[in-house]
Amino acid sequence: MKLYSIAILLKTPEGKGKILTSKNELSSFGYFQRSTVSEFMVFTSKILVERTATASRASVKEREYICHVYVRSDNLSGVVIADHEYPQRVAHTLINKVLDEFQEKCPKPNWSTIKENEAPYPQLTELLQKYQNPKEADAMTKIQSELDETKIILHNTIEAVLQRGEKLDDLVEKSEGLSQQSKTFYITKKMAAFLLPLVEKCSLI
Amino acid sequence: MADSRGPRLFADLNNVFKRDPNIDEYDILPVLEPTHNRSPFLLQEHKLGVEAWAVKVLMKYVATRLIGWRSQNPLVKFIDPTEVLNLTRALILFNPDNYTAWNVRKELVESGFLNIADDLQFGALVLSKHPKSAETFIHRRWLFQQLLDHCLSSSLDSNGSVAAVPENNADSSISMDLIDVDIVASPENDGLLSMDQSLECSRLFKLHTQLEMRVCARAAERYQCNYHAWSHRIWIIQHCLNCSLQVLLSEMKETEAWNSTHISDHSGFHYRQFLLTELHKRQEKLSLLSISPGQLVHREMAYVCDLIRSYPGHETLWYHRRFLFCFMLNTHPLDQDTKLSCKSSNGFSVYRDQGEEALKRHKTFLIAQELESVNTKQKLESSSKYNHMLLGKYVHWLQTLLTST
Repeated sequence: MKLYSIAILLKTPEGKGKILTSKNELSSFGYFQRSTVSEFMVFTSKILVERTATASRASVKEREYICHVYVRSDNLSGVVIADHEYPQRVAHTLINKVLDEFQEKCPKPNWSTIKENEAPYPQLTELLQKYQNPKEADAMTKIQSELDETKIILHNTIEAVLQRGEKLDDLVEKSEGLSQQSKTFYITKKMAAFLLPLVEKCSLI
Repeated sequence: MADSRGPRLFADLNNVFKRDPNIDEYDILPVLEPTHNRSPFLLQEHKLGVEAWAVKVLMKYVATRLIGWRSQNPLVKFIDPTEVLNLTRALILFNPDNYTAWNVRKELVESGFLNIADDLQFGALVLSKHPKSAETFIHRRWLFQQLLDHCLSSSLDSNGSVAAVPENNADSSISMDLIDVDIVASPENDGLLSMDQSLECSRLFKLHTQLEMRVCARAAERYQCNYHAWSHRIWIIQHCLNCSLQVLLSEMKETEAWNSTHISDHSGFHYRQFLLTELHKRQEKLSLLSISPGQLVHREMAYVCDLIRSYPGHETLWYHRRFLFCFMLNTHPLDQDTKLSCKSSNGFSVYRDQGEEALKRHKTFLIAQELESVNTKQKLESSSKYNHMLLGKYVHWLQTLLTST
């Protein structure tokens, strides 16, 4: 059960996803993979927020990961990336909690003026650690009942979230947030998103 | 072109390891073509990165040389052991299941050229990239066997009566760090030198066993359901720690937290099943610590039920529950009592029949109880369809048990 990343974004009036703040827990990845993984987490978070309608929730499966996304009616959005063991409802409850807390620390008028990834919310690191084990973080029974009744839409791949005519390959290619190394990773393995590091197998000799 | 780059890359790699003997992780970097004139080996904070194109070239060179050396000149073995050792290292790093290379390393250990501790460290490095490499674990078991033999023979030198000792000493402490796997016997030794030697040996052995548990834990973390890592851990417990009671208990405690955050890792739960079974075999000793095996199993049952409630929809948890329930059925205290009464009585067959009857009634009662608890408690909570299906399967299993008793 692993919680890899929590990101808070703003869906701008132009429909773009802007990262306000985000934190990753990537110790389970290899040392040299972490920067690539982290770039792809940001990339994925943005795509999901951009493709998710205002005031809706979704959980998107992508190989051994699940990305949970919620875009509030005021366009403040949260993305949690976890593995399959991590309970879906806990992830969505966590997004609610994080967004509420964030709003207290950083009120609405500031959102549009803050520079990318510079919003002050130092408590996020601690939350990310605490929620690694949901049983310790919160009474599980409470969590089960607490979540509001907004329906969670399920998607089986990131491709399924994309709009008609869009291809993940093209998005990766065009992205400015991904380094050349990350793109090579993506292209050579012909695998979606940030997932290659785990599945990657050396097939030499 | 490939031919001329091979030897240089090989020399480069050897230099990297010379520069930093404590490399603890390595990986292949996605650089498909040489883009600059620098070395393709990147060293940062004891981590080694190798550009992908270089791996291909290097492997071709190393494999041809090592296999060529081994098949053509059986008479000139160990003509340059350092070189041979480096060749196996380069080969295994990128192809850990090449057992020819591992076997060459075994020969080097036997001839005293390669230190066991160094080889263990190298294996741990390989596992950082290939956490479920079976050959690597097998080689480690061989190394531990060497260590054990070494310890036994050195303590034999200093003291004649070794055979009975490990059992005693292994049960003398509680925490994993304090566990004493001393193979050395009593202090009344004659040769001081050899005593020092055997003390040193057992100290080393203890250290390596502890490190090994950490290696296993790391490999299990890196690869889900890592059967090889967990069965290696079982092997260590059995062969290097004599299944001592304290080890078993401390392992139960230690893996509890791990398992509650790895709820679909069947290998991890199987490890706990192994621990419980071993503990049950030692129930006389357990009772000296005023713990009954029944108590342990009941605790485990409560633990897994709690996990099922918190994380619905994981088959592994249900299978663990099946194991525990079977365990309870077959090892119930009543079982023991009836067996005892059978033995002591003269009217042998009569009592046994009664005992069996009672046992049967008791089992039926237990199953009915379990059925009821599943049906009432969990039906309400199982939200997802999948969890409902798992629950249905468990109920069905219980019912077949009921009809077969």
